[in-house]
Amino acid sequence: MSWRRLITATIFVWMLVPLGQIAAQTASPVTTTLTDKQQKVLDYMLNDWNKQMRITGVELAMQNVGGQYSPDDRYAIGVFLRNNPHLHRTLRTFGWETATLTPTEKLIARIVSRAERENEPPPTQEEFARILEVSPHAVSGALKMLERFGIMRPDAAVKDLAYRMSEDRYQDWEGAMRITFMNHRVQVEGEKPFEVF
Amino acid sequence: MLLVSSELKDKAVTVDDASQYSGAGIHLVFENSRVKQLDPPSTKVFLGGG
Repeated sequence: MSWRRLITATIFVWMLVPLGQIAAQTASPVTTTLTDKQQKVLDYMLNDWNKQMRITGVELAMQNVGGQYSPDDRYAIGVFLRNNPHLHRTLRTFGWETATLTPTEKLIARIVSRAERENEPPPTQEEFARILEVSPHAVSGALKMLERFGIMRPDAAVKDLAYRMSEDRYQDWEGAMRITFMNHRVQVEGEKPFEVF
Repeated sequence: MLLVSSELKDKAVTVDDASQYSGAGIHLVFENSRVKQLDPPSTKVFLGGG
């Protein structure tokens, strides 16, 4: 083999390595394993999303499926949705956050993101409890879950609330086809409730 | 609202939403596409979409 051919072959091999790595990353999505009961909730959601305008989230799906589910179950399913956008067009269109967060978490994120955009102080946890008509414990739990999902982060510099949005995209989330922190729940008489976009 | 005036037009439907600005809860009840109950009463409803 001539030096020219050897150098050409070497360059070709070096080019193939990163290309192969990229192909492997795109071809095989990250998967975490769901338990049987978590899978049941996921199956319920995927079926629901095939109906007109539906985007029933994890919390309501767990309620509709029935049985005992914990915040850890919702976290596991949420991470699974985040890591597997190929699962459904609804997920790719509106994002895993819309299907994963509870109405209370969405409202807190919506109000805090707006306060940040308008350079206003966000409500305190006590004020959130009053505005949203939930317990202070529920507000605290929602903030912890938003932190766990990486949507908000603690920041002692934020007076009273001590939390802020974790990324710019969560501060400026509103716009066409973006319903990240919105929730519309519908109940038809005699049927199970569902959520729509 | 699109569903209420089309696919669900013959049904009794409850919609729970929240104010875009304050986050305060909004509770609506429809029967046969018509508004039966609004809470708070100052809520503006646009049937047909939006």
